[in-house]
Amino acid sequence: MSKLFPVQEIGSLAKPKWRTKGLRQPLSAQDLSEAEGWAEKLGIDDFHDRAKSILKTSDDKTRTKEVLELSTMYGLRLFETAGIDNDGVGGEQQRVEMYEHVIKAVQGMHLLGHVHSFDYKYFNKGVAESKISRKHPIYAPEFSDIKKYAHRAVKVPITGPYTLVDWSFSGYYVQKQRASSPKTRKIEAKREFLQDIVEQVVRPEIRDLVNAGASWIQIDEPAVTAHPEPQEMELFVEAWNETVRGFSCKFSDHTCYPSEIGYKVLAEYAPKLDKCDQLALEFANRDTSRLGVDASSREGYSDLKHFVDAGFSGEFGLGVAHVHDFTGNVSSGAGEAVGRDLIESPELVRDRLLYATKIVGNPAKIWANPDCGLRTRTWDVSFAKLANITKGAELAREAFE
Amino acid sequence: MLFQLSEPCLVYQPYRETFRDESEVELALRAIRSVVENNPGEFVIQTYFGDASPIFSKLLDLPVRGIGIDLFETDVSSLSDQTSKTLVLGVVDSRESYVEDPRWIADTARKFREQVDVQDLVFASNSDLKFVPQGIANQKLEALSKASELFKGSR
Repeated sequence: MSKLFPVQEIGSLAKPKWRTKGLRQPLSAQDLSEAEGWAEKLGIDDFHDRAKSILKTSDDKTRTKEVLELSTMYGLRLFETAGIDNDGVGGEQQRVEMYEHVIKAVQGMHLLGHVHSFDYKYFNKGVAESKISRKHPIYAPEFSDIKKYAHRAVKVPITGPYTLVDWSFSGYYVQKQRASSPKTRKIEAKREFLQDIVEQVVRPEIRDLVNAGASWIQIDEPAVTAHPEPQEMELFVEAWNETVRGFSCKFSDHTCYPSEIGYKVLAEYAPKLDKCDQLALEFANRDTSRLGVDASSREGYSDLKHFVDAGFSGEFGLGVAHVHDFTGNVSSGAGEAVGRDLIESPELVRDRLLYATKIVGNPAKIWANPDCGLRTRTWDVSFAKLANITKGAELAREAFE
Repeated sequence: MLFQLSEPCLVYQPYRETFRDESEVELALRAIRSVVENNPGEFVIQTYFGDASPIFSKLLDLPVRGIGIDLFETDVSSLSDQTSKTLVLGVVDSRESYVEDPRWIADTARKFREQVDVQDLVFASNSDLKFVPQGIANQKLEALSKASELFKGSR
């Protein structure tokens, strides 16, 4: 893409109620009223025909398929209408979430039950009970719908191997280790489990996606910065390099900001990642909400320098919009706080892009995106944020004309 | 009253640019002393997530009833000491669903006693059991209980 500051999404959008309910039970016309409200805004011309079909079918499988297809199309149109250049997979409407969606497709793994993650969050954690393999394609059905409906470029986010292993119990892989030290057994188990996830699950999945026409795959690795020890970081790099080996498509990494350590450790290892064309990173969540292109106004972007200093030469997917609950003051012209949301103004987005350009040096290396997936925000808020990112990128572009 | 002071940061600090130095360890131990001294309660200092061996001797010098260590991070063979304190052995892994064999647990405790001269041992999980589902947590507790019987029987 030749224009400066192209805009992308990062992954998820909230799932509308009709999508969630429609996967569990038949829907009523009332259930689809929210979809009807968005149809005109997003230019879904055949909404009434599709709604009629969804309401008419008595077959659960057919209804599920039609609901998933329609919600995927809505997600794509929402991104497209907001002016996004790369529309991803329409907000991951076809995935339960990023972990369970994959684990359910892995032979040899079993979801054990909910365990504590952080704060009041729990997740359904899986265990490897035997040598693992892929039961069936994971993202291919979604990608098939994406190809049918996307009008613009797409990138396919997938959950990375290090995160899948780190969030699982190693079970079988621990039991087969023979080292006398429990610590060594755990590390060896993780390495072997990771090799199998890469070879048996993630690479076959990428192969299918590339064969089906995917040209850009974003590997989500939120877990990597939870273990900044050199041994773990090396495991992540090994797994990444093996994952992408031999494929000819664009790869990018998305890793959320680790609040304890910042991006410094990831920056140190980023240049070792083969074929990592882009790092999509979170910055806006800790930036000020006032205009300016000075270091103090843009304090949330200071870690960008670590990547440049470490010699990472790829692109940056720059998080320019907050994705969490917002509390605080918003200076004049920087945006608007609406309830628990901050809607960044185009001018604030512009200033973030221009400041990042000063650090990175080359504006052609910078994409604009939200910090992370927008699944915790309503569609109204997501749309407003994305539309302002698009306008902010346009303002930043004008600075280079 | 028995209190457990949970102190993972004494042994686990991956987020730090520089690992704790001697003076910082002394500061932490002084802080613990200031809590436990002149206090009518009894205390166990529970360490987990990291290797306790570099500071094990210093922990044993604290005026507390017991010290807990994570045996999935601390290599038993790296320890060598003697104590009259209670030692809490974190000998089932609360971050792995595989349920440890009671015989292995008892064996590990025996190996521990070959390294450290101690009378009072308590078998425990290496950290909170909230990291495994309830059913697994129950099985791990049963394994600890069986291991304790095996260990007593072999003495």
